[in-house]
Amino acid sequence: MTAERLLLFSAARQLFALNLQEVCEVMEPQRCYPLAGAPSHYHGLINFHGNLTALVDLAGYLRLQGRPLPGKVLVIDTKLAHLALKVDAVGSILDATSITGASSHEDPLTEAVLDTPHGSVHLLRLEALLTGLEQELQQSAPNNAKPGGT
Amino acid sequence: MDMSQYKALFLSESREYLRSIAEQVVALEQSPGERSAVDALFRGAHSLKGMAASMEYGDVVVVAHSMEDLMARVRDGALPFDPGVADLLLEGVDLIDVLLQDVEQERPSTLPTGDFAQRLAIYTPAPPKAAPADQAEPQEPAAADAVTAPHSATAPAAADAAAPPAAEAEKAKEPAGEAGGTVRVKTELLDHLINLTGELVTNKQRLLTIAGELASPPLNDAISETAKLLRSLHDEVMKVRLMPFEAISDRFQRSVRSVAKKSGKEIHFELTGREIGLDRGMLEQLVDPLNHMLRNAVDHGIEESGDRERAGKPARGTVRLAVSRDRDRIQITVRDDGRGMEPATMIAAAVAKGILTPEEGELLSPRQALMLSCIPGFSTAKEVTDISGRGVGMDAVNAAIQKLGGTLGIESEPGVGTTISLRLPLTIAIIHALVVQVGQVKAAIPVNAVQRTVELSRRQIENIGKRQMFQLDDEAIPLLSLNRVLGMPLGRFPDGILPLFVTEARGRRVGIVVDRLLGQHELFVKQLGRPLAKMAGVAGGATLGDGEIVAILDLAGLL
Amino acid sequence: MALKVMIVDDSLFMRKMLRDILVEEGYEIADEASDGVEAVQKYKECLPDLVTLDIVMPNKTGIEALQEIMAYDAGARVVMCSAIGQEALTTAATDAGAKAFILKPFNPELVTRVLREVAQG
Repeated sequence: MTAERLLLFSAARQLFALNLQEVCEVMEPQRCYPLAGAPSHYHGLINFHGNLTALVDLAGYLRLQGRPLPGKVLVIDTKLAHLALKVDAVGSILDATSITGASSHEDPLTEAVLDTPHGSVHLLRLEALLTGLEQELQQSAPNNAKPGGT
Repeated sequence: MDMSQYKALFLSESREYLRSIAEQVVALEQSPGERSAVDALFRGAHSLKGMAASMEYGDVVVVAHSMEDLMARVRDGALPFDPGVADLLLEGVDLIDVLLQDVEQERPSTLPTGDFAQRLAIYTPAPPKAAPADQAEPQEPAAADAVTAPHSATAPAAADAAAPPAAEAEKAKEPAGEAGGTVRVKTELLDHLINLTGELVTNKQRLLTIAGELASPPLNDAISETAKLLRSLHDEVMKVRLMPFEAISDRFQRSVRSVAKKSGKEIHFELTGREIGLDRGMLEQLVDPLNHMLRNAVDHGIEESGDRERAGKPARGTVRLAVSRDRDRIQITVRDDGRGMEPATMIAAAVAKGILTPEEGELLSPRQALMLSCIPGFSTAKEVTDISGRGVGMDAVNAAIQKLGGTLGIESEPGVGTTISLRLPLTIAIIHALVVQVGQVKAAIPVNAVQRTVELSRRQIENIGKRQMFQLDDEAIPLLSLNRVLGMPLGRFPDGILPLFVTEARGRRVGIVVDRLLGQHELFVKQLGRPLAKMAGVAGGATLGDGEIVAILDLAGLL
Repeated sequence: MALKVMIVDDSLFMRKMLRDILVEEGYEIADEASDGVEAVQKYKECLPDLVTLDIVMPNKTGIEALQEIMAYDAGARVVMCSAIGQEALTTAATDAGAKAFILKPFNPELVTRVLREVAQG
């Protein structure tokens, strides 16, 4: 259930973790170009080594109160997605052995809530996050049911 | 012995055999006596079995072995090659295809194969009664490469590496050692090459921007020379990516055959231009749209044979799929000699569905009326397709073609037939696009979707009902704001001039107003991947010369 | 000196596998052929010490190719490759002069042992 090594980070005063293998780089915020028509938590597109990558504000997507920090950008493994998450801060890498307890959580995004020396951590399911983002994009598709053809 | 090193080769060669078997089956249905094709079918199944046994893929062995045994019975005269045998063999091809996908994904197979083997083992021909109705006719069979398996496909060597399916092709086969000067290349390498070329194009744009600031004639010369070289490099790389259309054409024969069989119609299927080369990436994305068009042609275009005879036509309907190349464009047509479409009926149906007002309907040209079939709400309703003779999913087809940077046109003559023509760019990676400004955002529109640009004075706008229209070539064209479509603040236009471009949406022309027209650019299209690939109205992204990223809009998906 | 082997099989996969087994054992690959006609023609060109010859092939079957190779060179040392279930063909191949048989799927030890025996007569 828990991965061997997790990357800890924070957003909206909460601790989260992703499987370290799912993250390919942690970057400083960089030039981002807005994307018309996307939901508001999409900051836009960034150029990550030639990959056009969506930058999503994680707190915004989770409907949590964000904080006005420059923050960090977590780039998801480019083999899995073209997605970067804007988070508040990136902490340490957590070894599985330091997890003292885990409980499941009804939120499908959360694989488990882990008890760690740093406190309670929501381990995110990347696949659920991606699927959720995709469903949201499909649902917020422009209204093409308008009668009259224009 | 470590067999994993042979897996990629096993997959690609097995798929070649599968394709060859499928084509042979369809070919044999046309001329069941063709001895050499019977032998070739037997050999195909036999080779598959042997390879799978070496890899210890037991399920594949079971299926291939049962197919081999069935063909041995046909070869030895114990069994005629009848439609039942053909169906079983094609079922086996599909079964193995799924099993190979499991192998490729390294997941355990869940398909039961024993039942299939059993059915083949006990198969006896049905007692003769009415002749089967389908007559899907293939042309001379062709070689093919693994389009479905991008990781194992080998584009440039496709033609000579593929298994030659039928008798005459086999005679003409070059000995492997004489296929001089060809190499197998991994497709990832090809993708990488085109990526690098694209990055160079983007960098050239950057240099152009800098040169514009520096105003140095020698630098300008050097850049224009670089641009020329880049164009040649791009052309060459693109040539390497070309694969013959035949890499996907066997599916169409099978799909026509199966729809004909289901609908009980007699169909003569013709295919020309199988040797025409298309970009690998584009081929993959053409399979579904073309399948759709062909199924529509058979299912809705071609009449029942009784109706045809009463109309003085041959009982057997003809569906033609033709591919040709016209300099830098690919043209694909699907033509049937069926009942055709009546523009007036199409308009009446659209009015009845509330898609058009009767007044709007009167304004449509016959060509525009036919394009109504590409409007989403129009085409899905059963009663409409029965009247129009076509239309199921044509909106999806149209959207897919536009996404590839192509255009779709329909011509039809009632009682004579319908032709749908696709015009596609030779490549999809580098396109010309109109870059526009909307609010704080720039966006790109592929020029194939742009009929023209107009700078409209506010005085030229007429309010008709709730709509704003303007006159272009004696046609009233409605205006639409791209800002509004994208949910951005509307433009203000203090000088009273509205920049817009004219495009075609839902069968008629529309003027799309933007804040500014920023000119045409050569863009290297990049896919956006997860999650943005799912965003409607966006076909990809590209980097402009100054490093700015723009979304490439897919107007068909947006409007 | 390494013995020269010619590999004949219509499947690239099978040729590659056999080639790897033989190279590992120190044989030199004289040439490869993918059908019966090519097999005969290439045999005449490269005159290998040993031939592995698939039975089920296009253009000319392995048996037909074997007959022509033996007619050209009565000393040819040809090992037939066959699958289980083709026992009926082995008699025909032996009659035509095949020295031995190897069964598909290939077992590397078996392949090398059979070839060594044939090479040593």
